[in-house]
Amino acid sequence: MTQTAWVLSLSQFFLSLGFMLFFLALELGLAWILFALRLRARRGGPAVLAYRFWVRVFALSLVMGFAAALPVLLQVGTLWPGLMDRAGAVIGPLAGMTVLTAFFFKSCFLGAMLYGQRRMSHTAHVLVVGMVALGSSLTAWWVMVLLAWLQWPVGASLDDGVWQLSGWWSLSTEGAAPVLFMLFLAGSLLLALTLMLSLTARRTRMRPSDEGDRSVFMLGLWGLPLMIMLQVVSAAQLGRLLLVVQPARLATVVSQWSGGLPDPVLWWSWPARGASEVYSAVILHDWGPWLGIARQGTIQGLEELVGLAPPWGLTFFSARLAVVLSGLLMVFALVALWRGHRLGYEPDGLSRGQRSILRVLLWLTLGLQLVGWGHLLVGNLPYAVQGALTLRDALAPVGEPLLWLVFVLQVLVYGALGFGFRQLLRHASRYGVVPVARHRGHA
Amino acid sequence: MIDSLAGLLGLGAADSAFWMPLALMGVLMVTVVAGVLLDGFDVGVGCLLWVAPTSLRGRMMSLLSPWRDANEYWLLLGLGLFAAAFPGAWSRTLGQLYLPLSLLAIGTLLRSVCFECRLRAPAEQQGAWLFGFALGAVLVAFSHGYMLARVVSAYQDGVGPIGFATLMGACSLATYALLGAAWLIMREAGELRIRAVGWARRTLRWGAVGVMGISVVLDFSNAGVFLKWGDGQHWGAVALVWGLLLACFILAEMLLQRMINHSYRATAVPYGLVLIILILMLGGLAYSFFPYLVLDEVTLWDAAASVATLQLALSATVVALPVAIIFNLRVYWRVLGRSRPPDLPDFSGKW
Repeated sequence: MTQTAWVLSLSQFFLSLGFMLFFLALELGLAWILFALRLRARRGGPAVLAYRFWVRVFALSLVMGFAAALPVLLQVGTLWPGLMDRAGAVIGPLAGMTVLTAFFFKSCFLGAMLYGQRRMSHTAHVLVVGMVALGSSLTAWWVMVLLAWLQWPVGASLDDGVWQLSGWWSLSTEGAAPVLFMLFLAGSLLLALTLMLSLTARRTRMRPSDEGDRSVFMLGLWGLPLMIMLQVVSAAQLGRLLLVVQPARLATVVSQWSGGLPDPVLWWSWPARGASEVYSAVILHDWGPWLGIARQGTIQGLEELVGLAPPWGLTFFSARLAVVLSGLLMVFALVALWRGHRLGYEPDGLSRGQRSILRVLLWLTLGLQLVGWGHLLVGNLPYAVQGALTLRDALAPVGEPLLWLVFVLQVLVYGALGFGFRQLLRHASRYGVVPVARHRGHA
Repeated sequence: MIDSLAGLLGLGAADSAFWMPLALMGVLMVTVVAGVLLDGFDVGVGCLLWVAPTSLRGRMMSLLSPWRDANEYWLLLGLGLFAAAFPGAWSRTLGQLYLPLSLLAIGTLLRSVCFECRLRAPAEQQGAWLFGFALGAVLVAFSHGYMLARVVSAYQDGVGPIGFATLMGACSLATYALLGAAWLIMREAGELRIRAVGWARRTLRWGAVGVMGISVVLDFSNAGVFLKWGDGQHWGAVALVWGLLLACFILAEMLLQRMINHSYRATAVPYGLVLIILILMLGGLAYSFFPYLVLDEVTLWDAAASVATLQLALSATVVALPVAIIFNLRVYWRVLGRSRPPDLPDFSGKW
């Protein structure tokens, strides 16, 4: 297996996983916001308009996220067959539960939510929307349990090179899963809220705002700082959990080359051996106790972890970039909230510059999620299952030309779909959504 | 037979390590058959979009609309069940099928996304989404045949097996197009039916090539399978299967010819015949392979997960089954016969 084959396989997998996670997140965030809107719209009112518009964006992102799950599942088999051989007892049931949960909630509630509104009472429809949000969360929960297990394998015992599941309860609660789920939920809401703000800014540039725009605008402006805080707190908590059990990630993030007592953290430096070239003066001392390392004393250095450490540059800089982006996002969100409050939450009054601030919010959030998830996934390399099974061992023997072919095809298709999604959103923000009816059995 | 199988494995027939994999394999087979039959006409109509005139494409897409919600699910459900119950077979099957499965993944993604997006897109963008849907359908149809050919030729590499797989990919494209065309003949009168009869006639023989090719290669490349079909113990059943297949093909050919020349009576029959052909072929494959997942190497008991996991998978299936049955009955209620136009919605003052 060549280095190119390895990088191509990784890129393919991360591309499809990232695409799925993005739309899953958008769907999850929108599901809960729609539930809130629908709850407020029980007796009509401004939230009805907002619900009507955003439920169609939700339907679109749900379609995308749902369809993107299949390539990920298939690639687990085609790219990393060794993974199922050894960790099948954990991955298989979790994948099955994800599919089954999605199927259950989709077939029972989604059709009623999207197409059956006229045929049921308001209360029943509110309940149905709530069940869809619950179903999205449960589906995301199983995905997060699986991803968390790969980062920190608890709840399964390694027996003769093969994992055996020891308990569902410990698998899902003792590891990083709850925190990772919180992180994902906060990120989802963040993504949905910034999309709503940005699209509202765009919509009201073209035509006067309505009650729905105003309620979404207010919800977005207040929700944003809260969600950023939630995400920062859960990211910090996840860091505390994972850095202790992932010595290679710790050494890379801290940039510690030789083992021993923890070095001071360099906030910004260049990939050079040793700490001689430091471009930043901010140095954090005594971070050890935060991770509970002071009691253990020493940590491993990168020199001891040759071949078993993640790519230095990507891991090191993504961690810092995530911090910077979070800070920027918070600043922009507070500025937007301040200006919005001054305007009385009336998006019509936004100036050009303020509208671009709202657009920047969306791009910052996208960047933050990309960098954050990139750090989480890349930092776990070269392991597939932290500390026990490397991805190279699980790799399928596929020729390079074939990998190139599929990779190019995949980039083209995912790029086209992402572009098409954006076009649909732009069109909806300009001319309104296209209503879709579905008549059971009739066409 | 059950007892002798259990005896070979050293297990009792009531042993959960014996019957649970068997039961789950049964559920998996049902999912596969349902996926091929119910999602099949959808794939077929998607392939036919390439040759249909622009004026008919919109109608073909709208005919598919009511079943999309359910059609998307079969593959994912089957894969989820396969992952949960038979993780031991993944590297020996999925790991060998990189190209067809990648095409299948991309094709399925394209189909699901493009169909729904086309419904919600403005008129000037719909053409692009339709192209994506049709492309996805062709990828899926081709990859099914390619994959099946790889499986029956025991994943051999070389020019011969790859060429055979490519041919089978083309034949599977034709078979799906045949299924789609036969469904269209039943669904809709007018120009679409006339054209669909023409499409069905052109694809029928290629479908026959595909069925024959898969059967013959499977029979002659594996001694065990050859013995199963040719040892003369069940010659009645074997003759029945082949006779039925032949009769279905001939009858379909005659009916289509009749539709061109005389009349459009019995428009549902070609679709029924193609369904019988596909069920016979899938049944024959299942019979040939049983109890192996990879011929002569991995049985379904080798590949099965631990009993605890199987228990979980089985109980999840038991919970999901009623939902699935009710949901699918609801959705597929009017999938046969002429298409009925939708009723007007009730505008009684609700928002």
